[in-house]
Amino acid sequence: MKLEIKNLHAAIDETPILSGVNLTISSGEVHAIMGPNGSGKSTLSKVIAGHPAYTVTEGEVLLNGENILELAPEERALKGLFLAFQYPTEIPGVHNANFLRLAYNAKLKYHGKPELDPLEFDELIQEKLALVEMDSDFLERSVNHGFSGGEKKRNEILQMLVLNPGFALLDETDSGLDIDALRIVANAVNTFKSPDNAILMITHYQRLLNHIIPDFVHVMANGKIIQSGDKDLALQLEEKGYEWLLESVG
Amino acid sequence: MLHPHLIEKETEHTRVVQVDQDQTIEAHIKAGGSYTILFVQSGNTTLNTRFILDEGATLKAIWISHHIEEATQNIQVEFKGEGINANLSGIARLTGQQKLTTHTHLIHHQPNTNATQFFKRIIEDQAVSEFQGLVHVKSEAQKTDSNQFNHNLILSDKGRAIARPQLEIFADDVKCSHGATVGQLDEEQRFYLQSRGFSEDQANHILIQGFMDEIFDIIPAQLDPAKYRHLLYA
Amino acid sequence: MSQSLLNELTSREYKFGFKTDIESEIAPKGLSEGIVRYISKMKNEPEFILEFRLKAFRHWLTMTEPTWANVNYPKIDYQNIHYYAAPKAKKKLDSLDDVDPEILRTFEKLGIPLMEQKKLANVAVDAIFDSVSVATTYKKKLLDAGVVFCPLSEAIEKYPELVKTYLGSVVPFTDNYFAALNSAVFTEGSFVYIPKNTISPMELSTYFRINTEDSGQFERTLIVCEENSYVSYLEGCTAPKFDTNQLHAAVVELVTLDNAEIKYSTVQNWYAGDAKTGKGGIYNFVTKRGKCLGKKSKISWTQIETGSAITWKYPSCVLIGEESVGEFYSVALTNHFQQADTGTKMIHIGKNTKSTIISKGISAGKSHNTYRGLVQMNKSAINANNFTQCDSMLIGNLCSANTFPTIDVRNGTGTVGHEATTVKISEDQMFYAAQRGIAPEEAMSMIISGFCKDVFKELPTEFAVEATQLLGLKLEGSVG
Repeated sequence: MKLEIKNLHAAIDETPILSGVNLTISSGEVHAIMGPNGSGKSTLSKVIAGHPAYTVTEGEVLLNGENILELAPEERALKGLFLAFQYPTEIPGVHNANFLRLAYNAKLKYHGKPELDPLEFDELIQEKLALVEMDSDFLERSVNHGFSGGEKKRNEILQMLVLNPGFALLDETDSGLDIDALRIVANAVNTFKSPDNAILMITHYQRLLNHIIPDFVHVMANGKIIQSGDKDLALQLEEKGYEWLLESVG
Repeated sequence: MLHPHLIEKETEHTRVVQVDQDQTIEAHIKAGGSYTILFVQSGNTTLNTRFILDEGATLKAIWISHHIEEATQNIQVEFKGEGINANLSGIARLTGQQKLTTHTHLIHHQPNTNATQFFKRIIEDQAVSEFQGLVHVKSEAQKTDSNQFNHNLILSDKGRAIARPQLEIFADDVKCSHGATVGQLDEEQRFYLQSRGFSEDQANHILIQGFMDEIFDIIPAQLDPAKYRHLLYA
Repeated sequence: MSQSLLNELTSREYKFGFKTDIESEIAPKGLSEGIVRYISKMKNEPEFILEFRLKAFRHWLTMTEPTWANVNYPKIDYQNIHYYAAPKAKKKLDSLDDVDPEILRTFEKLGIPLMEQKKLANVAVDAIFDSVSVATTYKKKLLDAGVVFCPLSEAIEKYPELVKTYLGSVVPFTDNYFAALNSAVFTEGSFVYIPKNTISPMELSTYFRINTEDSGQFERTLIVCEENSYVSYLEGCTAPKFDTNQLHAAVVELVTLDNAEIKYSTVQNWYAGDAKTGKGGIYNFVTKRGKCLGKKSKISWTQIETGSAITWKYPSCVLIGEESVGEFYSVALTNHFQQADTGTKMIHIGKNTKSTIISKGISAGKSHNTYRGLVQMNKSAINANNFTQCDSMLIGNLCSANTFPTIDVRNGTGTVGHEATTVKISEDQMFYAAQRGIAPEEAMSMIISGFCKDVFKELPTEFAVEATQLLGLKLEGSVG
C-alpha cells in the first residue's frame, strides 16, 4: 500500500484551502500531521476521501500508483481507504450493526468473496467490539445517533477494525476523548497497525502521539506541509507552540 | 381602516399598537430594516396584520390579548427576500366565555429565511382558543428555517383548545417544524414548589407566570414588559 | 443527484402489473338499484343484507363526492364501472382443487402460494380475486381454535347474527360518500371473529387482487375481537397496469371488547399509474375505522402506502372503553404523479384513553403527500393522552409535503403533544456511507429505511421484509 500526494491544491466554494501538499506514505508507516486551526488538515483528509464539497484544482493523489481523484468516494473506500471522521455523521434509524455489515459485505463483494449473513458477521464483530471495550448493545443503536463524542470516535475505530483498510486516515480521533477512552482507542489502533497497512493521524495535540508513536511528524500551515521530522518534532511543538515554527520557517 | 407602516431601508423602529376596535395594518419592511411591534388587543375586535419583508429585514412582533370577548387575529407574513428573520409571538389569558382565534400564514418565497412562531394560551372557565398556523415554503425557498409552536394550558374542565398547525412544503432542503401541546400545570413542579413552602395557589401562580414569561421575556425592556404582564391579571 | 437515485429505486418496473386471462362473470357497467339487486342475487344474500345495500344506495344518491382532500383527479363516472366481476366457476368452491389453476398461478406469482404444500407457514390467507374470495387457507386449524376466518359472503350465510350486530356498526353507510357507495355494492372481503379468551394461533391475512379492467373493487372487512382476545391481521393488494383509473372503495370495521386487541397492518401496492405520464392507476378511497368498545382494549393500525394513483384514507380509532388505546403507524411514499392524502382520527371518549400517532411521509418526483389528522378529546375523556410525531422527507423540488393536523381538546385534563418536522437526506450522510464503501443507491435506501424504522418495527415479521423490499431496500433485518 502506497499513498502519494503530489502538489495537491483544493478549494471550497472557490476559497483555496490546500496549496500544494506533497506527502508519501507507505505500508508499515505511521504518519502524523499537526498544525494550528484552519491550516487545512481536515480538508486534506476529506479531499483524499473524496468529499463532494471540495474541488481539486491541481495535483494528484495516487493510491498504489493509481490516481484516485476521479473515483467516487465509495470506490476509494473499496480500494482500501478509510477515513475516521472528525465529526462522524448521525444516521437516525439505521442499525449500527447492519450498517457495518453492509459496508463489510460491499468490500467482500468487491473482492469477489461471498457475503456474510448476520450470524457470521456477529461472530466477527464481537471480537472487534472487545478491542474497543464496547458492549454489544452498542450495535443495536442507530449509527452515531445520540452517541456521546467519545462513543462516536470509538465507533469509528470499531469500523476501521472491521473493515481492515490498507490505509487509515484518523482525523482528530483523539478530540473529545477522556483519558480512559484515549487509551482504549490508542490500544486498538496499535493492534490494527501492521506491516501491511499505513496510518495517517491528524491531530492538534501531542498527547495522542504518546500512545501511538509516529514514524514521521509533519506540520501543516496555510494549506501546505511546512516542516517534517520524527516524533521529536511533536515534542518541540508541544513545548514551543506553533508560533515558533511559523516564525522560524518565515 | 387600513394603516400602512413603512420601515425604510436600514432603519429601526419600535411601536406599540393598542387594538380596541377592528384594525388592518400593513407593514412593509424594506431591505435591512428592523421593526419591533407590540399589539395590545382587547374587546370584541378583529386585528388583521400583513407584513411584507424585503431582503435582510428583521421583524419582531408580539400579540398580547387581554379582556377580549370574541377576538380574531389574522397574521400574514411574506418573506420576499433572502436573509430575513421574523419572530412572531403571542400570549393570551382567556377566561369566562372568551374566545380567541389566531390565524397565521407565513409564505417563504425566497431562500435563506428564518421564522419562529411562538403562541401561548392560558384557558380558564369555558374559554376557547383556536390557533391555526400555516407555513408555506415555495420551491425556490431552499434553506428556509421555519418553526412554529402553539402551547395551551387548560386550567378548567370546560375550557377548549383547538390547534391546527399546518405545513405546506415544496422545497427539499428546508428545516420546518411545528409543535403543539395541550396540557395542564405540571404536578411534579407544583409539588416541588409546595415542598418549598408555597401554598397551592401560590405555586399555581408561579407556574403560570413561568409559562407566560417565555413570551414576556421577548418584549424589549424599553417597552416595560412588566406593565403588560400585569394587564393579563388586572 | 438524489432524485435520479430515487427514480432508480422506485421506477423499477411494477412487478405485479400483469393481467390474468380468465373467463369472468361481469356485471354490465353502471350503477342502479337493479345492479345492487343483481350483486345481492349473485351472492345469494338474505333479505337483511339486500335491505342494507338498498338503504345505502338510496342514501348515496343524495350525497356528493367530497372535495376537501388535497388531491386532484378528473370526475369519476360512476356509470362507467363494472361493480361485479368474478371468475366463472363451474361449481361451488369447496376445495382448492376447484379453483381455476390460472388463478392459483396468479397468486403464486404474487408471492401468495395457496396450495397446501406451499402455503405460508404462519399466515392464514384469504385470497380475493376481483369480487370474490377464491380460497382461504388454514380454515380448519383456525376453527379448531375457535377462530372464524372466512369471506364475508360466507359469514353472512353462516353467522348472520354476528354480521347483523356488527356490520355498519363502526362505519355506518351515512358516514361518507365512499362508505355509502361501498355499503351499496360491496362484493367481498374478509370476516374475522375471535371468541372470548382466544389468541389467534396465527397471523391472518387477506390478499386483494383487482384483475378486470374498468372494474371497481369494493371489499368490506369486519373483524370482531371478544373479551381477552387477540388477532394480528394483514392485508396486501396489487392490480394489473391499465391506462384507465380503477376505483377501490373499501370499508374496514374493527371492534374490540374488554381487554381485546386487534393489530391491523396494510402493505398497499396498488398500481400507481404510468411513471412518465401519470396515466392509469388505482383510486384508493378507503374508510377504515375501529371501535375500542371494551375497557383496556386496543386497536393498532400500521400502514405502508406505496402504490395507488390517489390515496384517500384515514384509519381511525374511536376510543370508548376506559383505558382503551389507539395507535396509528404510517409510511406513505409517493413518487412520479402519485397523490396521497392520508392520516388518522383519534376520537377520545372514555376516561384514561391513550393514542399514539407516528407518520412518515416521503415525497419524490412530482407527487403530493399530505398527512391529515384529528385528535379529539371529548368532555368525557378525562385524563386522555395523545402523542403525535409526523415527519416528512422531500426528495427533489417538484413534489410537496403537507401536514394538516387538527387537535381539539374539550376538557381540562387531556394532554396532547404534537411534533412535526421535515427531514432531508444530507450530503454528509451520503458521504459517510460512501466512505465506508456503500453505493449511493444502497445508502439512500438505508437512510430512508432508517427514517421509517419506527413504523416498520410495528409490522409483523412476515410483512416487514416485504415492506422493506418494497421501498427498494436491501438492508434486511434493520427493520423490526
